Amino acid sequence: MIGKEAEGGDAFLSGRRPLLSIKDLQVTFIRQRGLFNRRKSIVRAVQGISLELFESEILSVVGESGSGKTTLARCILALNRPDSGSIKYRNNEVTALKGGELMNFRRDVQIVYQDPYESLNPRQDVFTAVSIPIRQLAGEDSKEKLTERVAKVLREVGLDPSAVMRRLPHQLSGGERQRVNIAKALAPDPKLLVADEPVTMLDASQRLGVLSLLMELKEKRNLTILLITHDLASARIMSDRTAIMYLGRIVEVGPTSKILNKPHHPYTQLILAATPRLKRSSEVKREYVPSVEEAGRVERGCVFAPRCKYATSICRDTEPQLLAKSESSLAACHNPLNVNQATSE
Amino acid sequence: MTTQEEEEEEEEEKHVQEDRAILDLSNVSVEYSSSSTEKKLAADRINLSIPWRGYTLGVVGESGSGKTTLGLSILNLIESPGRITSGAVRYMGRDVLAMKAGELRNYRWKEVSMVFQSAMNSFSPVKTVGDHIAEVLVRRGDLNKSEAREQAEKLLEKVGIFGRADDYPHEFSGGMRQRAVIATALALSPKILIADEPTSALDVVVQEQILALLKKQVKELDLSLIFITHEIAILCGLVDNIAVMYAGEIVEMGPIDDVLFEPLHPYTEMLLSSLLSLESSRDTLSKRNASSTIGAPPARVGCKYATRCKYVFDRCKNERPVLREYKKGRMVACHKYN
Repeated sequence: MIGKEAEGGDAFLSGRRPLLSIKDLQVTFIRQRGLFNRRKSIVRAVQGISLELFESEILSVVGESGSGKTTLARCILALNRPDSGSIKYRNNEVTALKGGELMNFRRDVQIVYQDPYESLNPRQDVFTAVSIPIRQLAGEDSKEKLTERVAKVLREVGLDPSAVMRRLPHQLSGGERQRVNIAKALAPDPKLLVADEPVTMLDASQRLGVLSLLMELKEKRNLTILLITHDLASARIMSDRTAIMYLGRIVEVGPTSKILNKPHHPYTQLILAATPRLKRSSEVKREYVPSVEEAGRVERGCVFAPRCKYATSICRDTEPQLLAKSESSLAACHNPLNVNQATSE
Repeated sequence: MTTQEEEEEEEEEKHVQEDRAILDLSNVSVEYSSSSTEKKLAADRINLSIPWRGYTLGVVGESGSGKTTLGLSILNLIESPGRITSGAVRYMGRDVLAMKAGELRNYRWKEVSMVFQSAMNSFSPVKTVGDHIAEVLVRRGDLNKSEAREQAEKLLEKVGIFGRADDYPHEFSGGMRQRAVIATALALSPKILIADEPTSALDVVVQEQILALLKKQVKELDLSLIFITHEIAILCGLVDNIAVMYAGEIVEMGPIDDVLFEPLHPYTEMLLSSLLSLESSRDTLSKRNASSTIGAPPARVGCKYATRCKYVFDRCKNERPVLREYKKGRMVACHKYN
């Protein structure tokens, strides 16, 4: 179903081999309501996601907090076990990996976390932080070789090894810390890098530097990058393709420029409009749009319907499937925007 | 009312009539000392004023530029190891730094209140949101418990939260908690609200909601707003004026449209050019950017920005530029314009 359609829509990429392919992924969490309360509720964090990631591409996954992007990332890293569905890395089922295979997978797939202030051990100096993954995943033990490798990777991320090697995290700026995190992730020579909001916590003036660095590394090392972000501007300059997530589903996926210039899904249009831009005061219009919580959840139909200004009766009734709405993009919407009448359903 | 009080009130009125600023900071410096030898100047001779009610100011700068310190010094909230080493903060002609405990208590919240960074996570988990706000009202206002509770519900309604006063903070989303924080800050109808990065952990749609809410409060209550942030773009359409800070100093100040579309200070120029926007293209990602670490630290003598400035000349290395009016309404601290 969804998976097949997705493949059809991505036909323009068919010449390339998917490095990672996700099919119909479902993840739920059980939430207990209070210590003594027996009532439990189920949170559907990821609901039926199918996605392919091709070798040496950058794919952005964009969505607001609670949309399930981090859960998706954790599943890809084999840190969370999905309820159902499959994740294949180079045709091997990730959830079935064991022993040496799992070790190889962990070396191949690395993550850079959002918060550079919290993701480094405050008592470990830069050398220790970066050498651990090399020691454990690449089995390098000799002190000299370790130092050499750590220095090399630090240089690669734009840091001066002699200056930072023995420093503790609190002696570094936010941008420098994030570079150390990137060095840590690169140390075992991964093929796939998951970057979970890598610049969100950084100053505007440092963001461009870190993003430029990621792009340079991608080209030099032929990396594949999954960029998780809620900022469409960084998705725009970084990624070939973008997937927009909403409440655990992918609502739109396609080439980034297409999605940002002519979005099909009203949710994409909504976050585009809400993205801050430099404008003269007189040109700024602020429209009050209800948040997810205010709009309320739906039992059936399209999950975005309560916030959608284009919703019709079919939207409240039938959940839309992720289908091709134009040559290269797919969207899950009954009333898609920017489509030629001829090609619409 | 005693004669003395009457006199005081008259004097206050006089200040307003004389068109004196509501809030005025002159030459305020704040120093943090981490050890006996190491001292950091977090705010360096800041001059700033809020001339009238309804005046809105955005303060931008990188982390460590002294934005939060500026907010805290207005409230006389700098705590050890920090110290206000020089300058004066005047509110309606009163010396804030000389206020006694009781007077300060009334000044904070009732006259000037602040939404702190990540305040949305500072609600006590064992109290309902309504009780939180009511507590502020009981302690600082003249209401009894049930009146305060009623008022708290009204305040929450004003920020768009209906019938949820009995909920605990964890039942609120981030955006709702942030709105509740704003409701609390406005509980005692202050004249000035300082908001320190109130939207930094929120996503764009919720951020828009908070900004729209603040804008509405400014209009309805004739509130003066000092909005501290490192994201310049969110200030557009929210504030009328902007101050740019670098290494503890205000380097440029003026009407927002003028500063953003015709920046004077080289630092403002750099800040604006490094901004990512939906219009940015891939070319903005460059090799130069990738290898440039963060930039040289501020200079100790002369202009602090000289170490990073592309227009630097001899005078910048020796003489500190002072913030002064370059043309009408535009203030800049740079030798280029002098």
